[in-house]
Amino acid sequence: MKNDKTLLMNILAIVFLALLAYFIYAVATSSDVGINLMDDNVVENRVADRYLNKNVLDENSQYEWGGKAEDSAANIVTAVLADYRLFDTSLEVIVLFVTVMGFGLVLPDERRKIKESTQLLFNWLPILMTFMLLVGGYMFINGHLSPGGGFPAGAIISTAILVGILAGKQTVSHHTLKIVEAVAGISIFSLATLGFILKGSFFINFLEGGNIGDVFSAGLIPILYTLVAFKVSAELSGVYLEFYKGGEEHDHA
Amino acid sequence: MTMLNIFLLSSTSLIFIGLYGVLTRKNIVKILLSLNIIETGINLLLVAFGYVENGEVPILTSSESLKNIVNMVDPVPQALVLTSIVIGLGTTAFALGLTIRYYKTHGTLSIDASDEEEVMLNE
Amino acid sequence: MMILLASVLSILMIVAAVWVLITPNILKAIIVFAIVSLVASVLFIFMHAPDVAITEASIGAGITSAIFILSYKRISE
Repeated sequence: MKNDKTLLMNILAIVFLALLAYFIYAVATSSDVGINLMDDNVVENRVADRYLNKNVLDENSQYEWGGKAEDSAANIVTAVLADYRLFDTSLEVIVLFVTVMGFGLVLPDERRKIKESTQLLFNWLPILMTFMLLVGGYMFINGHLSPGGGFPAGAIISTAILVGILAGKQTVSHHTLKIVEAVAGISIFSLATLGFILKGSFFINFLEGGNIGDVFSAGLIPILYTLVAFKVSAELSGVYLEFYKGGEEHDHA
Repeated sequence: MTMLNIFLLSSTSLIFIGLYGVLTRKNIVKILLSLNIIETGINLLLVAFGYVENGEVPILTSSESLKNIVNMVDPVPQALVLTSIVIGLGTTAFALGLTIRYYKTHGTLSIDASDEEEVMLNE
Repeated sequence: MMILLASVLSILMIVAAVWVLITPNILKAIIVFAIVSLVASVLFIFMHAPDVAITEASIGAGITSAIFILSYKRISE
């Protein structure tokens, strides 16, 4: 009896959700009402046009390859993320910090010991970690030129620390991670306040940007991405270390 | 059938498969996995809204790419989805912490355990 | 050609998403979920969004599955 009822409910749920999915798809693809995705909608009609032409602050701003512009990051997603909409990114870092802190608070305090893994992984650990740190470092240094940026770079650096834990070696202590995270977080907001003092608005890109396409360009963006990468990697490594007993246990007051 | 049709179809079906899982599964880890499937689907849908047929990657690579600037796809949804992925990781970690706590108090991962407790309290 | 590849990948993704829901083994479900995220990151490349693809592959497929597996191991002990 109970089984029949759950079967009926499952079939009802499938039918109802399939109808909903069909209507969302139909609205998204129809050409007279809704968002009109299918009729040659070009970016010129959207807000992104100002970001692509880099004329948000000055309407007549023009730029060319290798020249200076209002925002000289070659990767336009980075320009949106780390310059035009930097409030989003900085508050996102705070949200990540709060959730990771809550994770440590909620977790019951029974940790496992870090066990030594196979000899193979243990001996290959330095080589693996070097490659991971190299890829992560390349990614946040070149975040304004190529795909990547602070968040995936931080994730890859924290994965290096996870591999260390899996191989049976704690490479960073909890205390160091907290210091790194605090210094990076305070530096991000000090740079924002410095922009307020120098140029009169919060989070403004006050450094002189170089030519588009150079490594030393885009003003503050590489510095901010470096700080974001360190902060994200410290937070995520803290999540992994919450599961294991470290050498020292002075946190969890 | 264009590329945009495929993206929209796959992302909407992913969202509703995840919603079906959230509605019908009993195991908390399964429900969290379904929530993550919904999140992936919504990210795909948002980036698909910025897709332009025969578009280009919004990265300036040479002086040639400046001429193609009108063909680039919309960079704003991409930046927002980048934010959403990282926050999704944070909320998933927090939910898993709550799941471990739940298992410690109830001894099971089924969502029916809290129902039974409610019945016991009401009687 | 690209359309064919994209449709095959989306069918794979949807099958994997259904598989996550119906498999009784939780560890298997977590690993199949990583497949969903990886295929989604390939679809992001088809949408000309390489930044999102890298982030989805490293965070959505890598770290989320790692945290799921670590938590599940903690529970099943």
